Amino acid sequence: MTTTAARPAAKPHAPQPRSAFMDYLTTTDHKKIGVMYLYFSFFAFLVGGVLALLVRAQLTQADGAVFSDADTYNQLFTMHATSMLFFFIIPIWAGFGNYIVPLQIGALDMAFPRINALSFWLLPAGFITVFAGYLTGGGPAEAGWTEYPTITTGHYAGANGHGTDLWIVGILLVGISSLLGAINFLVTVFKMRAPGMTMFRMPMFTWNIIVTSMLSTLALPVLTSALIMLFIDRNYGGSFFDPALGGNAVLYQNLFWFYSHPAVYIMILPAFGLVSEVLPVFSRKPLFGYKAFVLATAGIGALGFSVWAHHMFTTGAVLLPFFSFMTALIAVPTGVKFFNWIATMFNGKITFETPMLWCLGFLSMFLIGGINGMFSAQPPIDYAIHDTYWIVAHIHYVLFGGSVFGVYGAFYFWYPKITGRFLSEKIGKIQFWMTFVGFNLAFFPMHILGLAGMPRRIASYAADPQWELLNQVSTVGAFLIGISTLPFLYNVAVSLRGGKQASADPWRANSLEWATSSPPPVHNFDSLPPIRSERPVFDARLDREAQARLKTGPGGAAPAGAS
Amino acid sequence: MRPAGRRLPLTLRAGLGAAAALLLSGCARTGLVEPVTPQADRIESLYVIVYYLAAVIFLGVLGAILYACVKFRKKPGDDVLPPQTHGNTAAEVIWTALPLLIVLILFAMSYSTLRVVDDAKPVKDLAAVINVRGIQWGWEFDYGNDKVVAGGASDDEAPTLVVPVGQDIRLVLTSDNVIHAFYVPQFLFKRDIVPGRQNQFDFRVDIPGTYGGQCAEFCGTEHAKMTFQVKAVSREKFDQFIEGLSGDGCQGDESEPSAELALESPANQIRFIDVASKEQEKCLKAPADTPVKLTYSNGGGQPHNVAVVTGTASNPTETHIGLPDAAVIDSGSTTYDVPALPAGQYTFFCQVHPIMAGTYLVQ
Repeated sequence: MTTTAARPAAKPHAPQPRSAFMDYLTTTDHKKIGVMYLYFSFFAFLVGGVLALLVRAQLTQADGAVFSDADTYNQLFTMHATSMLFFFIIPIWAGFGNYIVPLQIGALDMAFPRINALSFWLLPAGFITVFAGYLTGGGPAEAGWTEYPTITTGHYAGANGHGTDLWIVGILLVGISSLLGAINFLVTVFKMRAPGMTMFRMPMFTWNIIVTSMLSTLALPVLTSALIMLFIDRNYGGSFFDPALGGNAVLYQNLFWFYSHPAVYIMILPAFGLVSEVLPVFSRKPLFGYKAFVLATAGIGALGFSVWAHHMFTTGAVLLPFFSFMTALIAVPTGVKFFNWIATMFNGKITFETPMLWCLGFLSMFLIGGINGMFSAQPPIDYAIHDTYWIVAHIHYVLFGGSVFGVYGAFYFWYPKITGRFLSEKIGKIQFWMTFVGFNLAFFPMHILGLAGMPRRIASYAADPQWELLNQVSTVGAFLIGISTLPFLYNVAVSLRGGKQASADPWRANSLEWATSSPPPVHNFDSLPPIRSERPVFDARLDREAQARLKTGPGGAAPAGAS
Repeated sequence: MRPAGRRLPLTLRAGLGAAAALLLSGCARTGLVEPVTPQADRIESLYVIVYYLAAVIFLGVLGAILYACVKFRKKPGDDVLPPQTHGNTAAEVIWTALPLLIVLILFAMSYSTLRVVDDAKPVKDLAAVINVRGIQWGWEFDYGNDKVVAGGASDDEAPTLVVPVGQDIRLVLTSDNVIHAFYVPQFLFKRDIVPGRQNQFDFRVDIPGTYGGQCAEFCGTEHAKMTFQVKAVSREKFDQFIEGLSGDGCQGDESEPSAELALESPANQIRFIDVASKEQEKCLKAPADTPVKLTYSNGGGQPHNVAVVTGTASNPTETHIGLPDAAVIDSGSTTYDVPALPAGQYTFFCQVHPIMAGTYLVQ
């Protein structure tokens, strides 16, 4: 499977060494592309974060503390969600996937390196297109990240500027980026695995990227068609979604969520994968129930396609019992994962380095995000809490408490592999606790606000002192989260040169990316260990230690139950 | 492996313990607003069950995580590999079946609640069927027979939907513009108002009082101000209220009919005002069988026009002036030629914002 055939002799004129800038601009190396993904997505995270802080600042007073103009506020929350979902969470996992997946399966590169570069470069193009809305007279998109018609059809007050058109085009570009990336991942994993790397020996992170990629491949065409229809409605006199012209407004919601619900799994599954990598390493045990994990991941992916209408319980246009039941059913594979994660820690020897800390944060916070989802899955309860701040709390416990905690875990876990140096543990722990406290301050009060009846997406709210207080607590938490990114940025910048040096396998980990040097060479591996289980690096380490003991003579305690 | 490993479980426990305490403290009060309809009572019962179930699951799972962190943390110097357990089929079957069981039980409870909440009564058992129209940005509550209450974001007071207490009411929700949602927190209920669809729901308010509500589906600039109130009163007071609705904006208007009328709307507002008094204009009077010049000036910021119709703004039966002749202007001033009309009561309104409506009385 690996290409070992003799290569043609060196070309007569070797290319001139390029500047680092030109190098990154033209590279097709999955590692460099992965790193660019990480830089770009984290930049989008910071942009989305600043927008979120402006949103929170506005809500410190019932009548709106900052912007008297509701349109400006409406644009802020729209662009916040757009930046976070489309330009941060989805691409940052594509970034880690890009860097890590070929390493985890013992491949040289992605299957289509040039398409891989195209996938990346479409992202900044999409980002610039969407944010170019700020340069138009009407401002950027303003109807929420869902952009529901009929307000976006261009025939009614609101969302009539070119900002919404730019938004549609930008998201189409990101969609193409995501689709190309997904196909690339699938081909890479199916065709480029090292000898011995059977499907059921693949690391869980890779498994989750596979399922994520399948979701993207199947769902993105539907979103793309919805966006193109909306564009036609807006600009070429189409009537797909405007009932006044014979269209159907709910059709868009069905199409949009047919992608965007699976998209939630596209955002969270890679974090599941990361947790499934980190917990075994820092518990010094194999993953409990590896095959159950694979089945549960595939199950979540499959069920993910039959639950989209739970975003539409109050439209009166969907079959409630079916979608309610399918939604609740997702709790089953998710529950299996939780139990297996906990069982992985049981009887282990747990240490609490930063990657582990973020993963424990993930477990406890995503747990809340799963449980409060149980409320919204029941249509009668959803009647009460739909489109209130409860839902805002729910998505942030899933996507921040889940995905973002996972993203930070991934940074701390793989930074030594990518750079050859550790991030500072001390700063990492400070950052973790700031984020953890800020996160709960920011988002827990939103449950109470939602139950009290505060709708989402409002620039001002009823002058109720309790609402105002809860909103202020939330804003304090949000700013704490904002500040907590500073130690992280400092940590990343300083550790790049001054961090403690990391060996090839600094965490005593399991999967193949730890079998090569940190950072890996351009060709990824000088040699591969034999792959006879889902933990090739663990097996090789055990072998090495046994060999060493044989040399020094008997006496050392034999490790029990080697896999 | 790394020395920092020992102290952390304690801080971890403190942090997560705080979260648990927060949830426990919530047990005293589940946080929901007080329900005022029997439908809301059912939803609250379901909510309370799910709430305690959620608390048990949360504390159980979090407890297991914390227990593992404390009990199985690595002791310093202990470098022996723990037992390498790869799984346990029996355990995994059990913890697949357990959530499945919970899901099935929950589904049964939720489905039976849903049937009660969404139950539609026979029309003969209903005390009133009220048409609710969502407008950018306001509400029209139409009790039938031209008895309409309307109001919106630019009014000082939110429009009020009056209903008789203790009697079954049906709301029919329609919109000819964008999607809105009718949401009253104390009904524990909302339903979208979708253009092209006719959604409806039945309810009964058991406790007299005034309850706030607002649009819950983002509908544009003034979405946040699209509020209303539901006032539940005795049947007698409700009947009096309906009686008092004239459907005539000219009651008490002393002005003389004129063949040259003027109307304006302030910048960025969704209402017509009188040119002289700057008060909201609800009545225009014109002489019978005479063509009328209607001068309209728009302060800018919102597109408006003026239409004159027979019938109501939401249900015109004959259009005398209107689109495309009575063009929408974004700002500035224009003159509309209203044809000669026989004496009678008509309606004038803006076709972009049907909530901007008044009586056009021809005498």
